[in-house]
Order: sequence, then structure tokens, then C-alpha cells
Amino acid sequence: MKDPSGDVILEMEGIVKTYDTLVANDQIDLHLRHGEILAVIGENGAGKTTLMKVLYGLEQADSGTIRLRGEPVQIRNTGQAIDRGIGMVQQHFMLFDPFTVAENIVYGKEPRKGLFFDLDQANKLISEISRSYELPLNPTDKIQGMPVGLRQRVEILKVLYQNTEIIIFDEPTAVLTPQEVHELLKTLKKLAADGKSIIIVTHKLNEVMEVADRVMVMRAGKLVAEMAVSDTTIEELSFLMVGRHLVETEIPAMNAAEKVLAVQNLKLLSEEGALSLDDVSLHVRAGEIVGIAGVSGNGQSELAQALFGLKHATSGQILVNGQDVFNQSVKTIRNAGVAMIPEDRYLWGSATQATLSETAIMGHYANPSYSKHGMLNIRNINSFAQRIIREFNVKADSIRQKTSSLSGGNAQKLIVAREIVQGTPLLLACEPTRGIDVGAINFIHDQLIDKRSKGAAILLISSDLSEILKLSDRIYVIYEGKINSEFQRGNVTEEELGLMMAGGKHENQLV
Amino acid sequence: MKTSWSKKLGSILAPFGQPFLAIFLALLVGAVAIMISGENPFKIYRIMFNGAFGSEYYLLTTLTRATPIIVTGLAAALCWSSNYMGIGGEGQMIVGGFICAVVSYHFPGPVWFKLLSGIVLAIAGSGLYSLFSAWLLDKFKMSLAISTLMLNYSAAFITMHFVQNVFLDKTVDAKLVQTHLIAESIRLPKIIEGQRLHWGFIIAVVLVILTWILMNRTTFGYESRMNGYNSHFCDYGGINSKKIMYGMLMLSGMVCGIAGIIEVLGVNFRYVHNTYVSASFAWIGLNAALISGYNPIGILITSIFLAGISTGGSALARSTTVPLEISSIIQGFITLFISAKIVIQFRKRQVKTDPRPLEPPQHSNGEIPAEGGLTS
Repeated sequence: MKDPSGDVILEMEGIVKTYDTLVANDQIDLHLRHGEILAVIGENGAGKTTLMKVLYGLEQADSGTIRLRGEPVQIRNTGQAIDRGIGMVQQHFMLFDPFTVAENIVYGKEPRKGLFFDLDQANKLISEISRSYELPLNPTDKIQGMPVGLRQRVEILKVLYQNTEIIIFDEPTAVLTPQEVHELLKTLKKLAADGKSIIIVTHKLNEVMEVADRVMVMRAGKLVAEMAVSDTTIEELSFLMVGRHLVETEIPAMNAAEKVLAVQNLKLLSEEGALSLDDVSLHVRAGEIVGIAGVSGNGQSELAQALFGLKHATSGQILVNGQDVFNQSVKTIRNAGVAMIPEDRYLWGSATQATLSETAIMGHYANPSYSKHGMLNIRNINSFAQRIIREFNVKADSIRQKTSSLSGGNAQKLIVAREIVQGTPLLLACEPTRGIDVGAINFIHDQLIDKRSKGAAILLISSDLSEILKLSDRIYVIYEGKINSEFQRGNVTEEELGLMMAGGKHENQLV
Repeated sequence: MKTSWSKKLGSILAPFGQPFLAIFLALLVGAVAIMISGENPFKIYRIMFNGAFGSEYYLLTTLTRATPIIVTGLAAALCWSSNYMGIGGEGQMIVGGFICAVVSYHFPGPVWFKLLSGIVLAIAGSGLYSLFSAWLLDKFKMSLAISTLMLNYSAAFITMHFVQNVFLDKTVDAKLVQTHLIAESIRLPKIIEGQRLHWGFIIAVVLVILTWILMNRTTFGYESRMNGYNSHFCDYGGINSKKIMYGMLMLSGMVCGIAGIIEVLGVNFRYVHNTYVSASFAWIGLNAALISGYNPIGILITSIFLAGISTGGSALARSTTVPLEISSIIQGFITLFISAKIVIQFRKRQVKTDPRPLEPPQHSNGEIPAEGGLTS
């Protein structure tokens, strides 16, 4: 740990930020010392990203003050944040694919020769920065085709090029492979040693223990604890984060039944020619929740999309209740008895301009009670929408309001409701609770367990390990497009799963 | 309570607010233009209003002019609201009018057969003409805006070639590129004897109702509207987006064909080269569709209003020194302010989707798709 009396470079005091009725940040104080690594941890929806957005000028606080080196400052946009030496490495990279590393880094602050962009100078500058921070990169390489870890390195260099002193990392390890995580953590330490002050937003506790000096724990918009990492343990942090010791939800035992979903040797070549899915074989039985664990970007999205007909696979076999649905249309697959909670509720799951009733009938409006001979039965559709909004506690004023007016959690509940009430024998649940509040998460989990109790098969694809461990009867681990292990409930710990997600081997595994 | 009431009222009025605001602003700009030409805007607007709606004769003239605008407006609403922004209404209308005029004059057989074949072939022809753009988009990823725009010119000049060299009516002024007059018995009857307004207007109103039903009460309309909102959502819902693309573009072309047919059977009784182009029916129709947010009933009202600006403008030219172009200025600014509305809505949609945004869609390699936008 650094000298605790080190100069405080940044103070945020009494930050309050509300969205409609939700208090995302409630009187949050944050202090950052020169050259330290501060971890901000919390569950999804705890308000940590909001706090960082306020600091980086992406959001304006309702009240509270920000002081840099003792000076009160107003940060109205990201430009002002960068001018004041605050940089952010976003969770999702904002890079121009067809351009080179150097061009991407200097974008917005290009070295010039007269009126013209000086590319040679840019390349030279980037080489120097990359050497001095020991972040090797070739400035003339194109971004296209770069692995995620290198892309992130470009983002880091971009922040360094902007001469920032405070660097925010928002969930930096979410999309990285374990080796890349290792490299990144080394980089963070090196940057701190060079005098940069770092804030890392994460919910991965082992990374906090490894790299941070101090840690702030947020829960439901409040700051619940702040301490030196050397004074705490993973167990304590996880208790503080969740606010309770995790209780095992009672999940009734089910007898193994027939296979509803059977996938054999599924292969999928991406457009770039990489094997996104490599010989994936798995099955889900009736009355079983099967989890797919993995670091995101290891083929989960492709698997879900191939199973649902949204992406064409290269070879293999997919059977749903014995019916071959390999590379069939979404319609055929839905008719075969498959429903899906999509991983992105606004890209796939809804149309923001559509009304709640219109969103509620997608995928099953052809049901005879909602339409006959191509004519919609508006009365039945509306009463159906009313019913699922009531049954699934979707907070809404009217079924005629637009889907965009719902909060994320309520929009997700509406989508989950739509897919569950169809009573299909198979449900693909992809990231069913991503980015929503804890109450909605528990509600959706209960709904999934309830569907399982009714004898449905559920394939749960989630990058949230605690969700996988809580709900799954069986767990497959996917790594680089391959299923590399399979576990029964209770036969594996979070740490062991983490190891498998990093491509390791394990003694308890079934395959 | 008060806030919830005003909120409710606001949400009811919101869709109307923007068009009225745009029209008001455009009239304001028009007023400035009128003042520059040294006239009193109130006086001029009163003359325009009287010239458009002030007497039975003017009102019926305006409605006659509004008819093809309504129909092409419906056609534009059909394809634009399902995410296919075609601007080929003019060409499709030309194809429909040309085929109808030629077939119902030259075809053999009894008069009713000529008329029936004229209508059927015209609708089929304009539908196919629009379908061609759909095919270009599907097979060659050719921008719909470009292909439909270019096909407008093709339609105008190909038909001109045929009229001039094959079907030219040489019995009258040879300078006019026009086909022969169709038989009187197959012309659309007038609604009121002695006035210009013909049954085409009734057909347009019926089409308004049919379009409303198609858009709001059928599964095809639902699928198309959802496709207009978010095509990924439709893919995920199992909707065949190609079916919508081909279906809607063909339907939209057929409706434009009907506009051409109505003009031939109700107004010109022949196909006259350049009439649809110089009157810009299809473009004003597209304006009407945009102003009213693709709402068929809104299109009916807006089209009459826009037609009124044109007929009122002609009245001005007759009785004042204000040039006829004042109506073009007002129409142009309405379009401008309405497109501003579209941009604002689009930006709002990007920003307002979710106050706590979910991460943008993720590709396998963690990169952001091209349309994800870039900030630095």
C-alpha cells in the first residue's frame, strides 16, 4: 500500500444522481490519492458506473462537488474531463477499425504540420509513449483483426497520449482472457508506480485484492464501506457488496427426464474465418437449468444465435424434442417450442418506439387468439399485455406507452414475461439479468426456477458466475468456442469455475 | 394529479405538436418573404386561404389537386414506416398512368374490358417497377434512395419515348407529348356535376381507411411497423424481413400506380408527358407522409392543406404582385422543419433509450459495431 498521507489529487463529495425515481448515487464521497489504485466495487446497478460517468463528464450530478488538487471544478463534458487530466478506458472500445493504431490514438489531438496531419510525427510519438510505458504496440498496425487485449492497450495508450493523470478503468477485465487480465493488472501497477492515479471499477474481488491499494464498496447507490485492501478479505468484501451472506435459494430436486435440446458437434466459422464455435456438444433435459459459464466473447453469443436461427452455423446437429432445427429459420425454431430471452434487450428484445402491447406479442402474435387470417385481435392482445404486466410486476402506466419509457429492469421483466408465458418446452435465457437492479434480478430468477419446476428445459447463458452457480443444475464452461468442462450442481466452486473459464483443467469435471 | 393530467394531455397532443409547429414556422418564414416583396402577409395569407378553400369552386379544385397527393402519400407512408425509404413514387405513378392511358385506349374489346385491363395492368406494372428497386437492394445492396430516384427519371423518359414514337395523339397540337383521349364512358364521374372534383377523391379516402387498417389491424402491418422500429427485433421475433421488403415496396408501388390511374381517368383522360413531374405530386405526397408521421388520417388532412397552399398560390399570382413561388417557399420550409423534427427524434432515441444504458451490442471480439458511434 502507498503512503496513506500521499497527496489527495481528487475529491468528490456528496455526489447525488437520480434517474426519475431511482437514486443511482446517494451522497457518495470519493478520495483519490496521487499514485494509488482505488477499486470501486459493487453489484450491477450499485451505481459505480454512474459515479464514474459523473467524474468523466458523461453525466451531470444533481448535487455535490468535485475538487481536483483542492480546486473545485465543473465537468460538463468529456472534453473538459480530458483537459483536466481525467481519462477513461471504456468497457467497450471506441476505435475506428480500418485505421492504424497511431491514427486512432491521436484522433482529436493530432500533431500537425501546418494545416496538415503529420502522420510520421504521430507514429514517432506513439512509439515513444508505447516504449516508455512498456506497452508494446506497432503504431502502423490496423485495428481490424486485433485481439481484444491489444485493442484495450490502444485505448490505454490513447488515454496516456492525452496526458491524463487520473485514469478510470470501467470493468476492464470483462472481455479479457485470463492471460490478458494478468498483463493488464501488471500494466495498472506500472502506471501507478509512474505516478498515475487509477480508479478501477469492477466486481471481480480477486482482482481487487491483487492490484488495488484501497477499495470503496457501493450498494444500491450508497457508499457502504471504504478501506485499505490490506485490512480486508474477499469474504468481507463480498458480504459488503451483496449486503447479506448469500443464501442458497431453495431449488427443488427434479428427476432427470428426456433431452429437450441436444446439440452435437456444432461448428461456426465467423465471417473473419475464426472458429467461434468449435465442436460444441451439449444437451438440456426437461426440468433442468443448464448454465453456460465463460468470459464473454468466448462464443456464448454465437451459440445462442445459432441455436435460435439468428446465425447460420457451419456444421453440426441441433435437435429440439427430436426435431432437427439446424440452420432453420427463427420462425421454425420458435414453432418447434423454443423461446429466448435475448442478451441485449434493446438490440434484439424490443423496439423502443413500440408500445408495451406491441413488444409483448413479438414472436407469438400468430397465435390464433391474437390474430386470425392476418387480422390482429386488438382486444385479446391488450388484455394479454395487461395480464403479463400485472403478473410480472412491470411498473408501467399504460400498455400504450412506449417501451423506451420503461426502466431497464422493467423492460427486461416484460421481455422475460413474453418469453416465459408462452410455455415453451425450451427457453434460452441469455444474460437474463444483466444491468438491472437486485429486486428485478431476484424476481427473474424466481420465474426461471418456476418454469423449470413446470418441467421446462432452460439453457442459461450468463457471464455472471454467481447467477450460473445459483440457478444451474449442470454447468458447461465455454472457452474459445469449446466446451472445456462440465460440472454438476454443488460440485464446483466459483474459483474452480474461474480457472476453467481461463482454459484450465480440473479433476471434478465430468468430461 | 395536475401533473399527470397535463402529462396525459401532452402525450395525446405530442404527435400533433410538431407538424403544427413546423407549419407555423414555415408560414412565419413565408411572411418574411412576403414582406420583402412589399406586401402585407396577413392580406396575402387571406387571399391564399380564400383561393384554396374560400368558395365551393376553390375548395373542390383543392381537393382535386389533393387526391394524387393523398394517394402517393399513403404509398410513401407504407414503405417508409417499414424502414424502406423509397423515393420512387413519381416514377411508379408515371408507369401506372402511362399503362392505364395506353391500354384503355388501344386494347381491343368492349369498353369495360379496356378499362379493367388498363387498371389491372397499370397496378401490376407500377408494382413490378417498385419491385425492381427491392430486387436491386436485395441482390446488389443498392441503396433504395438512389435506385428509386434514378428510376423516376427512367420512367419519365422511357414513357416519353413511347408516347412520342408509338402512342402520340397527332390530332391535336403536335408539340404536346400525350396519348389519345380515352373513351368518355370510362372516365371517372364527377362528384358534383359541373365541378372538377371526381370520384378519385372518394377512392383516395377509401385507400386512407384501407391503409389505416393494413397498418394497424393486420399482422403484416404489425410486422412492417416493427421492422421500421427495429429490424433486429423482427429477426428475433421470427419475422421474414425480405417478405416485408418485397411486399411493402410492391404494395407502395401499386398504390402509386393507382394515383396515376386516378389522374388519367379523372383529370387528364390521357397520359401527358411531364404533368406528374411538374406538379410534383409524389414529392408533396412524401412530405405529407413525413409531416403526419405516416398516419393515414394525418396524410389526408395534410395533403389537403399542402394542395391548398398550391391552389392558394395560384390565386395570388392572379390577383397580386407576389410571385407564385411563395407557395413553394412555404412548402420547402415545412419540409425543412419537418426533417428537423425527424433528426431531433432520431437523436432523442439515441440518447433516451435508457438512462442506465445496457452495454452496446457486443461482437465476438468485443468490438463495437460500426453504427455504435464514436466518441473520444
